[in-house]
Amino acid sequence: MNRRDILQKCVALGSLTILSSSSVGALIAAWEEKLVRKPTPWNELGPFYKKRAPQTTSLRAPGDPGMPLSVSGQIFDVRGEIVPAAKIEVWQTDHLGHYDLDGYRYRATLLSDPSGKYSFDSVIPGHYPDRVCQHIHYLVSAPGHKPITTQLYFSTDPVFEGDPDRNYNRDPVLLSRELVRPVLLRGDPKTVFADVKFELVMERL
Amino acid sequence: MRLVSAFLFIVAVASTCLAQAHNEMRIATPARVSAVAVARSGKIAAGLGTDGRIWIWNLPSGQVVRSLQPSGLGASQACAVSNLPCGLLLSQDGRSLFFGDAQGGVHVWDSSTGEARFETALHHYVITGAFSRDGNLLAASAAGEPAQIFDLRSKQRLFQLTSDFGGATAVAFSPDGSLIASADSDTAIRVFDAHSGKLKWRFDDLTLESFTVDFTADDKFVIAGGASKSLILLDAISGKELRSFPKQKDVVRYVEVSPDGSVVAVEYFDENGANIPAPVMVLDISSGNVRSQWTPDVPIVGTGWIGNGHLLVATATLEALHIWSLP
Repeated sequence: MNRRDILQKCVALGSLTILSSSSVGALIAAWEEKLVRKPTPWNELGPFYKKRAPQTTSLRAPGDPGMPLSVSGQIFDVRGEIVPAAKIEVWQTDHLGHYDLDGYRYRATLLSDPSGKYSFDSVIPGHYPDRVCQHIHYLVSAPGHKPITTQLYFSTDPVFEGDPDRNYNRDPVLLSRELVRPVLLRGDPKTVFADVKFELVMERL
Repeated sequence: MRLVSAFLFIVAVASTCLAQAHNEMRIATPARVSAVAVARSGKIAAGLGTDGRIWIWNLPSGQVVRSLQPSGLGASQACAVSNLPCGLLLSQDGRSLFFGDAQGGVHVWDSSTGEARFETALHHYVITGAFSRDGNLLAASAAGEPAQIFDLRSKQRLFQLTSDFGGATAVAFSPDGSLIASADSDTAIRVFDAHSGKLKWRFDDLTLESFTVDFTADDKFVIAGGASKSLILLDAISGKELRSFPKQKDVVRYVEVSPDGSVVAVEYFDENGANIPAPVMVLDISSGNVRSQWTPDVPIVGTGWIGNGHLLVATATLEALHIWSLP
């Protein structure tokens, strides 16, 4: 029985009285809207998180090898309200699967804009030897919200053999299909890049 | 000038003993062993096979005491960087065996009878654990969660430690049982009162996370290491940094202070993959000098001091476990 069924039953049985000019349907819709988005699934933080990453939207330096990647998205809370000025820390390997532990290559701190949007440029990460899938780590924090630790995965990852619905759990750390995002190829043959959207939903404290 | 260079070279060679480990024993195994824990008593070792079985051996005979089949649950995927050998841990006296599985299950068995002493479930796969020195308390942490502290006598959860985000990567009890140290994914090192769970201090100067933490034998210092490829020595009472050890080539996976407290064994892993052989070193705690180091031909699957002051190092092939003694 879902939330709508419960509310309708309560009204029918008289255990809920509506003192409003709105219809039952409209009130149910309004209540449901308060939890319109599911929180982004958890995924482990590390390893190799590094504090104090520089504020930049360009993780990819000119001439960096690898498939150029553009990631963008928007931060919401579970009620569907945008979360501006959220701090988004991202880190990943280079195209060969190597993390930079000495410096801050392929690490950045971003802030969501007034409409909750964020974006950065990078390359498709390589396969880190002790992990199955290509991934980008996220740590998202905002006042009044529970921090998100999660990871972004790519539907084009060869590990999925073109079928992430069936094969996403080949990576035992990847617990949710939702974290595997579609990859669109954009640009002309000389400037082709992978375009990925990744929306994040925070729980309120 | 040439004489000075030659002298410096000799000093450099003499100060770092590239040890040749002595092969203490070879134990035939039905499947490759991916992780080994050695009890401080030196009388028992436990290993997790790639067939999903846990084997317990008598040392030094190498005879199988028993094998356990954790109910169809594999080892945690955090093995590569966990301070635990794939979620496997023996109490110092060897009587209790801890295994944290990939589903969040926490299992403690009596190693001599095979009977389950304690079972509970954590939220995610188990990252790390530690016994108190008397074996009565257990700290266990699931991925993304701070460590939980359990009393194995009453089988009750006592309290949960705290972190900002990301949970604990390693925990350790002080030898006198009064403190618990936690190395956390948020890069902090925290020390808590072991009786109340109250935070005593946190050290926030690291930018990368530590994967391992231990106390010195006199309870006075905390040693931690991890992705920075270095170790730090902290005052256990104040949390102040006292020393940073020289950075090495590889990431620190595990540290264990020797029974006499003079040296620390450091197991490393290659950041380019845990299947690449990496060294184990013995460092002098007071000076930071390398007492000895050894890199086997295959990755190390376990390291532990035993009571006589010998460091045992385990490596594995498809059909055998090799236990080496490092001088």
